[in-house]
Amino acid sequence: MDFDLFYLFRYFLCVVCTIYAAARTGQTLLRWQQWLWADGRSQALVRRYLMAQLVRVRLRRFGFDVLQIIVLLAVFWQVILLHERI
Amino acid sequence: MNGSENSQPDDKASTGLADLPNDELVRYGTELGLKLRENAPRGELLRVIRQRQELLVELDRQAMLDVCVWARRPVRQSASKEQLAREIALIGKMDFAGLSRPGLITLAKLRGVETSRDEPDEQIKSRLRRAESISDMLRRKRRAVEAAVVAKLVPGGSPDEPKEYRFLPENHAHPDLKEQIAQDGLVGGIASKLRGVADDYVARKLDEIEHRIDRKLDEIDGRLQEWRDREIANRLRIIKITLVASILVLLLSLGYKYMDRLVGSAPAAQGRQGAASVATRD
Repeated sequence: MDFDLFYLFRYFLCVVCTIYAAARTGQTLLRWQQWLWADGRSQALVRRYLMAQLVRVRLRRFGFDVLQIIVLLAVFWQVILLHERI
Repeated sequence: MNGSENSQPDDKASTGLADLPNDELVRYGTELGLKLRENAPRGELLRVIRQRQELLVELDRQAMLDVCVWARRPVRQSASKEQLAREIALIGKMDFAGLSRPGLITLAKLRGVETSRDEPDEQIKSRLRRAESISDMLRRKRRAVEAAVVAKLVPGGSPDEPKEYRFLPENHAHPDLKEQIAQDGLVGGIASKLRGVADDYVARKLDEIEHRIDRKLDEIDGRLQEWRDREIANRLRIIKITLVASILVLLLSLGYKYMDRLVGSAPAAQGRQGAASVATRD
């Protein structure tokens, strides 16, 4: 059986990063959800204000950043496809 | 919270223009239709605002009312020149059909376009159009398109004939002293009048306080919006950095895979060559 150290490194990196990112994101979302959806007038006020702020976000202002992310994702996908061809 | 029209201080001279901080000066000047920079020197701000106040003194109130009626801005017939100037500053309309000549000249002066008495209307209109900035023009065109689309979607969004313009009702909350005394007697009438005046004063002061609170809330809202935008920009930057790092690791991996294939294919080729030479000898 072939033992490839780099393959092992990639595999563990992928697993660890995915689990870490998922856990952190989940924790953050849960914390926000618990805080915002708690009973109370102030929380309801903040909740509504936050919603209003989200609706009022001007997406055009972040258009260039979003475009960069789209380009980076396209490059990312192309490099993954190249892995399959080699 | 919305202060009534009368709650606005009618003349900043009474509160002392020179006593106002720079941001208040810029806000006041902008309300009067001036284009001021936030970081303009104080002397410059005062000079420009005083010039505008002098211009308001020179302008004809009826001509200013004509402009408001033409643009269908909600004003009282008894509105002061400063209140009318505030309304005119909000007008972005560039279709001058229906605007009287005095109104056209007044509008031109308030928009900073110099005119002469014998200049034809068309020339003034074309100069007004030329004075409009490109961003204002684009915004106006965009809004016109949006309005046309919404008017098509909403039933009754564009009535065939616009209704006749009507001024806002005048504020006659309290009858005059003569009527009051005739109604309630001498002492009662004077007492009612005094109470009315005191009520008016308190209402005006409350409106002023409300106006200040509104401004503070707007400031807080503006700061929160800045904070929100900064946070979103930071999150997007983090996503970009993560993507760049992932692509670099992928490229490294690709290079490794390519090298591995090259190195792996060399012994196999050697093996195949050796097997071929053995077969030839046999």
